[in-house]
Amino acid sequence: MQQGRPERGVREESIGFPTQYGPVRSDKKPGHALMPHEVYRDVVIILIMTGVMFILTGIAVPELGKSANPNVVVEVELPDWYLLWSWGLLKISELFPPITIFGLSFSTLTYGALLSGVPFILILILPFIDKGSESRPAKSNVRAAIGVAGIVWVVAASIYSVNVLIIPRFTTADGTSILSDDTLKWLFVVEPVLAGLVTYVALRRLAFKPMRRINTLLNVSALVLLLALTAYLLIGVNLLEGRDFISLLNRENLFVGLFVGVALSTAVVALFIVYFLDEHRGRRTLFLWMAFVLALLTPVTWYLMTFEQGIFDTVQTYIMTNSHVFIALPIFSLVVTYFGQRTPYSDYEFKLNECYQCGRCHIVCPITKVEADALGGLNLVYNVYKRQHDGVPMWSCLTCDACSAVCPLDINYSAYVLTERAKVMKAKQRIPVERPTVVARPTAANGGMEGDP
Amino acid sequence: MARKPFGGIRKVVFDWFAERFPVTPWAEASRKVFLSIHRQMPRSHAEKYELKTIWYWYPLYCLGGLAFISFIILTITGIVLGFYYVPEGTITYDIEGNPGSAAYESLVFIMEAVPLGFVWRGVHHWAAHIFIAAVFLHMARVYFTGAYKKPRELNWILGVLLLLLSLGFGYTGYLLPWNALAFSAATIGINMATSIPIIGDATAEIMFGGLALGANTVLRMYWLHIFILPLVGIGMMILHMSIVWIQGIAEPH
Repeated sequence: MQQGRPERGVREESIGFPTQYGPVRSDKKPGHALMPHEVYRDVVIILIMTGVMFILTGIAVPELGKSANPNVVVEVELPDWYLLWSWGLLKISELFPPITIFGLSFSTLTYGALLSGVPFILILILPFIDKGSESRPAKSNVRAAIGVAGIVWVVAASIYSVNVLIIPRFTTADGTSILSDDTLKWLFVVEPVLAGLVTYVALRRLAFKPMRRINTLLNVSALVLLLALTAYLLIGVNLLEGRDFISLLNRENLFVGLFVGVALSTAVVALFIVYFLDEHRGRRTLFLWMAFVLALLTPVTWYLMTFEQGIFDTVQTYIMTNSHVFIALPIFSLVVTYFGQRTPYSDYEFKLNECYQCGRCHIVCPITKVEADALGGLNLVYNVYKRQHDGVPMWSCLTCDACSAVCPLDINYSAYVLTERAKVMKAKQRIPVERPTVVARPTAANGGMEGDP
Repeated sequence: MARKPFGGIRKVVFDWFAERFPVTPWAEASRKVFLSIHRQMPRSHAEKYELKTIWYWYPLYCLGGLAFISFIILTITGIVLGFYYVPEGTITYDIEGNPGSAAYESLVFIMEAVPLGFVWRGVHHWAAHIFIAAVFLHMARVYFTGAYKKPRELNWILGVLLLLLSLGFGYTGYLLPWNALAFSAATIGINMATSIPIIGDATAEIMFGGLALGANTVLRMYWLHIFILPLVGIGMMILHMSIVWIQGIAEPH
């Protein structure tokens, strides 16, 4: 099984990367000495760190500002960036009504203080909730998804804490605000959930797991949610407020409809890609669609900004106020499709990549004892996989599974061997082979003896 | 063979100390303990398992170290700033009615009159930012690689407490210049503290030196910033890193 020219390992000769494996090795013990290796490396890191601090000081000297004055109220109260999340939680606490229980009064400030404690309590008890052994994120994608959602939640809280600085930045030409405080409040809910789901999908793909079902589920959910919310925002609100529909069909609302339509069709395109296209064509279609959307919306936006300022204000107010629906959800559909679209192929690649070369498989492998070609290396299957071997010894594998039995990571090598052999055999069947001339079986009739070979 | 210069003097000095403080048996005893439990410098994952491939997460394994280096730089610059800083927050008004305080004036002195004073303060300021950013990212790395799991639960809890201490360092340091931003942050802090039922007032008394902001507040913050937090923090950091040394670095397989 010629799988490619064997390559030398990149680090074969460097310190700590020997060519022998397992406990019977005869070369020197690996490892860096403290001096000079670690010391030199650490000195470099320390000098770079100190240099960065001096450069930052040179670029931005921390300002002192005015002295404290109890008689003057500061316009914008601002803690340092690492405490903004707590400040944001304090502001969102306005949602909870002040109450008094058993003589203890809970004000907005109380809720803020308690809310800031919640993340700390959660991370303190984390090791007792999430047990098991440590593993890379691709193998435990739920944990990673919750982590990313948590980080986005903290960032959302930090953004909300400076709402008084953000909201005035989003205004129409005449100064009317287009971003409401309520829209910013939804940052605490929508974006963390979406970011968590995207992480889950992306890491699931990284772990070579089946993707189709989760992709379909997420994209259909996003589309249904988008359709329901659009129906509510376009029709339901007007019905509730008792408006006449005919009067709503004006030019302003047509432009609003265009932008909303682009958002909706983005979700539809994403679902189409998931259902009908493979990985490469799907991703290409996705980029083409994004280019099309840009090519469509840029001139329209330019036209509205230049000639129809009033309509532009209406459109951007509508889209920005409902940005979690009309911006976040379509982007979510696109990103999920991009990360989640994968042509199903073998998961051996992922599993074999987990090997950390302990060498136990090499010790137990019976083939390495007799096959001259396989001596001196690691597991012959692994070496073929890593293209450090020409692949011929893999045909001598007995598939006895002795290697898998001792593998600390339960890598099933024999299944890989059988699959690869089957692939080659299948490929060979397609090649027309020159068949040998049929020789008649020797019988008494043609002068031979019955039973001749 | 040439004689070593100062050999005699060195021997005299050493003997003088050795007679009074016989450290040799103690050093020998500790060396035996050290060797008997086979401690060694922690080897990296690549060395331990003789890896050929360098895992792509490895650069993120230096974040705890970066935080520690920042802390050392913070200590050095903080000691220098401590020569000039005056922890006195009583607000006084000049003839024109402009407010000021001894703390604020000392900051102005550091920034304008002390040679390279603004550099010391600038490095202290940016090292603090890098310190907290490194601590946050270090925690994220530990979380995403699942390094808090058995047997490292205790070290994770220590780490979370150290994160709280870092935020405490940041907050107390933010208040020390006693400028307008510091005053507003202190106002929010004391209001949050007093709003907590039952223990709120006591917390405010301890942390802010009263139920309202005053001259005591800056002194409390100063003492927390330069004595209490470093004392507790350094102890916990030593414990944190010792446990890493004993248990080894957790790296996912």
